Amino acid sequence: MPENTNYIVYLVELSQRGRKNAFLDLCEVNLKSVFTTAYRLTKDVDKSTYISIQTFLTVWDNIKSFDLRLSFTNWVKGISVKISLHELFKYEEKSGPIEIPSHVVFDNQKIEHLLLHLPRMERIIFVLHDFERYNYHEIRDFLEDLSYDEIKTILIDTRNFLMSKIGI
Amino acid sequence: MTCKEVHITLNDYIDSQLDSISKSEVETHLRTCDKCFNQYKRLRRFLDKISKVPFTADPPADFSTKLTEELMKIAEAEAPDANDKSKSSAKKLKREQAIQEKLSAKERIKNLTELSKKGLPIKSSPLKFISKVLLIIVMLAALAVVGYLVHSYSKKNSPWKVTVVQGNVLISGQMHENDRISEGQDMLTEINSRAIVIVPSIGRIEVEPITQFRLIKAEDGDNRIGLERGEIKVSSLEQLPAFVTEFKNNIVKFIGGTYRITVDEYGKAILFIESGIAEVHQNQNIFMIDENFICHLSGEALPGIPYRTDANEIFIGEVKKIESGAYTRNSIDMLINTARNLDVLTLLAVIPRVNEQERVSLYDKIFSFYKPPPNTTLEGIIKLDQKMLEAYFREIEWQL
Repeated sequence: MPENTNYIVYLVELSQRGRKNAFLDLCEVNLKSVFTTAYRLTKDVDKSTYISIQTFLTVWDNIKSFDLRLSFTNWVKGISVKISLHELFKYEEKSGPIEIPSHVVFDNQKIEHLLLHLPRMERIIFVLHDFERYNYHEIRDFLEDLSYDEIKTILIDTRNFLMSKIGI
Repeated sequence: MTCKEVHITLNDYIDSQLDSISKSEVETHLRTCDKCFNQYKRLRRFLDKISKVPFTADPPADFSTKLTEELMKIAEAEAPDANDKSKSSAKKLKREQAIQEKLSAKERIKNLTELSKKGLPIKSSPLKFISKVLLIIVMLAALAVVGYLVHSYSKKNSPWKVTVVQGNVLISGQMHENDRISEGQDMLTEINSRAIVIVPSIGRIEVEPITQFRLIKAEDGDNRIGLERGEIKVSSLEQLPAFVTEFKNNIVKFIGGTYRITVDEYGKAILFIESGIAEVHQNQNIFMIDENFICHLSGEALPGIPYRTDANEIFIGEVKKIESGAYTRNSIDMLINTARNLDVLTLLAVIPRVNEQERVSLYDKIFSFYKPPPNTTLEGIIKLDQKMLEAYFREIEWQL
């Protein structure tokens, strides 16, 4: 389990005492990670912005009960994934070409581009497992309709597809 | 464990989801099967690449303002804290972001249930003998001939598609823009000319200017070219040694990955393995070259000692001295003192070029980084036992 650094512990403790600026610092530390994951899952900047804000508001609402023996980053990430999936399954996904907005700058455009063009379920499972390092059981908790074996099969197929596209 | 079983469990293995017995079985198989080992390396390369993709999507510029506004709405109900001084420097926050990204890679759980495996049904076709035995024999013979012809035809893997990127390309002396090359034909790129050749089921060859080669064979599992001169870059997706480049007395077999070969007019070549692995066959000897290594090859002499592209200059200088035979004991000491763990395959390749006493020193250095596999001994390495040298190479390559 990842540990919290002293600095994170310090900020969380201040936030638990109601210090807003300390909490904004905590948000800033986790902002890119939360926003990137939301964007990889939803492919939509507006939704990702909304999800990120909702994530941090949820964190603020619950921070007093947060147990510092757990990883703060993983706790925040778990909340953002739940909100992302909730938003994602509200609507049918639009098909067709995806325009990556100019202010969204990825370091590895090819992988990100391929990822955003994956079908919804393949993308979700791949992002959660290979980017966010959730295991099959944790992913199943997020996606209750799928079995353990189905998740695994989808992940392996997606990996093979991406490897062939990247030329590995 | 069979190749098929390994293929099924490879993702579980790499995700650390196998129990210790299955894990050990997979590892035993991977150490002895090039095909499966290369599948493993391919998957590992992919996941390494993915693990290095950072969180770099930037939220919109006004995100912080929006978030602050939302928080302020909530906070209005709470007591304001005007004297809050905890806002930290941007530098500190940036460093903390990096630390958090690193920490967020959670450990994967182990010992999970293995994917249930289903065997393929085996079809059996009962043969009924009827009275006209002779007719059946004739029919079977005819079928065998047709089957052989179909099989031979289906094994053909040519022609290869040629796309001219720039300038002029000659195939069997004729100028072509975009065409195909078949078995037995030569291809030549002129000055400032480049082409891409697609090898079906294998990958592609990027052909640089003033490069000449002959397509010697194009069959499933055996695709070979004879490189006369020039430079090619081969990108192969095939996990078997299915693509071969020949020049002078050397045969280079590639097992997946990307590699570049340059051959000059005297037949001297430089081989650079960007990814994957290559075997150089020369006079019944086999030399293994790993990814990120460069090796100089010439027609008659032994292959050069491969070294990593990022090795330090002193190390490379001493390797060159040993390669030429003009070295002293000091060269061995310098080599040992400057070698990093990444350079041990070079040290292993140096062993056959030096005397027995120097071999012991090199072995000690290699041993300090990587223990030899079972049944590989100091005595065997000093006596240049080929099997032990190869086993040690594979063990180090595995661990690297």
